Amino acid sequence: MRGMKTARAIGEIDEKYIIEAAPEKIVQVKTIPWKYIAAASCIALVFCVGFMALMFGRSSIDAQSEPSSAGTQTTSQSVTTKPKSEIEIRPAGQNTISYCKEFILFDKDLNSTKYKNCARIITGDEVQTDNGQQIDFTFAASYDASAQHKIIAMAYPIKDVSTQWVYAVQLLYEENDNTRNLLAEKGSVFAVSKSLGKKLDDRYFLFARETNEQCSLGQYMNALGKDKMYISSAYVYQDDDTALEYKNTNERSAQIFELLQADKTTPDYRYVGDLQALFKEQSSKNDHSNKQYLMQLKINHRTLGENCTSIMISKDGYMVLLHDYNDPQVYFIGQELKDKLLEVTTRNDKGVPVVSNDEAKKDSFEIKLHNENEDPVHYVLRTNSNDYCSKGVKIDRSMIDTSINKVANASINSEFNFIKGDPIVLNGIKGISPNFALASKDSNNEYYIYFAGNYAAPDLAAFLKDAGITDSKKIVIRSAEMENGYTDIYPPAIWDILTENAADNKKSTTMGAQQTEESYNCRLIFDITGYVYNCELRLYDNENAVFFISNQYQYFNIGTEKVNKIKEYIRTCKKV
Amino acid sequence: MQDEKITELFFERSQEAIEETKIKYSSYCMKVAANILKSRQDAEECVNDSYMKLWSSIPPNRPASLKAYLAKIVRNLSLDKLEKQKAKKRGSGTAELVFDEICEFISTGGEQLADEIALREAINSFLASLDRQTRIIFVQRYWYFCSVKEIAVQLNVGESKVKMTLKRTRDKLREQLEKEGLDL
Repeated sequence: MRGMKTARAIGEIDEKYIIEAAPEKIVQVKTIPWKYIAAASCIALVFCVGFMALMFGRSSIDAQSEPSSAGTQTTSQSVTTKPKSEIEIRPAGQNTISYCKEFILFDKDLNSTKYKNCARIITGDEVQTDNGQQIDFTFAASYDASAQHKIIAMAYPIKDVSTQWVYAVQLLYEENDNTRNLLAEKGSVFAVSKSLGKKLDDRYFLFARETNEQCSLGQYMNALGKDKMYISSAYVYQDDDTALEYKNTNERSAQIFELLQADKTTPDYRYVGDLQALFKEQSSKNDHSNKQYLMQLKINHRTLGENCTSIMISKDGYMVLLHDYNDPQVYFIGQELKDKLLEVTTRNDKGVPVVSNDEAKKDSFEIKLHNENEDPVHYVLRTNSNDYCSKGVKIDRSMIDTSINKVANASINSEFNFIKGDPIVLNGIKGISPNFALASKDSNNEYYIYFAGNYAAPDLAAFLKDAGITDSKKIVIRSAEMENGYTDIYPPAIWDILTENAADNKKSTTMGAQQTEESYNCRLIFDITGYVYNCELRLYDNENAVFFISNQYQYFNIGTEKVNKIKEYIRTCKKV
Repeated sequence: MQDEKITELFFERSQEAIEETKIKYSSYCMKVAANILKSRQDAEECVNDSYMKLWSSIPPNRPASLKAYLAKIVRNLSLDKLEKQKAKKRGSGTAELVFDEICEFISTGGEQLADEIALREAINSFLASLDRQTRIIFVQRYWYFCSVKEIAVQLNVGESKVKMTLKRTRDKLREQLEKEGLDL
């Protein structure tokens, strides 16, 4: 069964795509239950026939026994309707598959407080249940036909952690009914809680209130319970936008927290506003492309979880606290404290610079090649995490240029069966720059393309040269995704526009929001003949273009004029 | 609990690892299995078997993503079960349709399936070239075996758009596989 075999091959796709496409919403596809409709129709028919037979039979009997009726009497029946409760809890059925995403607790007056689920279970000894300090809005009321309001959840403070942001919530289930799913509704908001297959009354879940608190830095650190925190890693951003990771920063956590507590005595060390107001280019909390950042400290909290807080410090002395349970907050800490923090992060107790994690592991991941002058040139084989460079398509032997012959003197990559220390030979690909791609033999003597890792061309001309696509004859443009789509595009027309004064089109590093996948408004899909398929040229409104060749994104500022010219030309082509 | 911690529990051979995995991923696993098998009982069986397989494979393996790793196990076991059921002539709606569609992007020229690694690489490279929505539609259909309606609801798009996208993507993939000389 070939479908099955191919289905299995599809099963081995990259894990990031599996995670990306994981179904999230509860989808209940309604199907028309024809068999039940048919059965119901039959039953209704039988009742009708029976009723008719009874009525006709009765009429004839009545007619025979009481030919002259004195009148008719109707009986009014009182209909009792159950008042619909504002809050209703009912079994959600077997199809409920979502885990709690949010939960709403109501107080006795039915005022609600919304919580975000942090998807963690915390142990009972982290919860403060023994001194009766549970919060007064801890009653979640339920209603059903047979019972009065019931408590289904209670919230407690978490020991030594601020109750401003997080609570431990205990979900209570009726005895012998701890497997049912609950669906609570009030207005348009709802909360779904799924059966966890075991009794829950000894389990506490971590929830965060959806209210945002502002406070001084000292209060903030204290509220988190600084004794429970440590710094898991630190990143220091370089001028080229890369970040060096410094591990074992936890050894210097106490020193760093001590510095951060300085605001108690320093008036300049102040809260200055929210993130959006001060760091406008930041599109999300994980987007560290903003060059104003100098370093990032990731903080683990023993109760609240790993990396629950990040401290970002900008070059001009601002500090952003990013927290899973609260909105980002910005403080001004000044240049002096910023420099002290940088020093503590990047040097050990004796003041000796710490080797970054990336530096430390370099040899494990790189192949060091040597050019004719014995200068080392680094190339990177793809790692499992796909971060570095990619193995492209299998290529034909006739495309190999054996005159370009480079030997890798160290490598490690179990995926391709290279053994550390074994030399491997990389050959050039005819007509393609060895600065950009090399062919390597695997154990079956077949050639594959490898790309140079961390390659970054200074300008568009250098990129096109190194990618081996200066000649438009090598290009096959398959389609343009713009408006409704265009096809039959003549490659030289595009390439003439693109390559005109290409050396003036410099590498762009400040792409900001453009780094999202969807924000381009024109995408050309092209192949480089005999080299690699499905390359892309993406055009953006803000004068930039992006080349995408198998994981190698290269951004260039080509200017509005070129962008518009290319689009104009595409519009003259055949519409899809 | 974080995935890394669950993985650590597996390495410590703690039974709690399975419990925590169930708490976190049982619904997700059921969804993956039920889409293929369509019988809740069979799906539950498969998911339980998957936990056992997970237990025996970690260690030595240390998956980068526990979620994806577990989902792969569930999917493979579900496909195994489906294959056995098919041998006994027990059909299963959506999965059959998906297989039929998959056959569309396999050329009819050869009987021998191409080298699995090359095929996997080709599909990965193809997926990388797609825009995000198209890729999600493709993976939800052919990896998760979701119905067209489910995908449409998930992505807030019309069913016709999903069908059209799937059709175009299949055509595109077939074209690429042929171009790369992957005789299937």
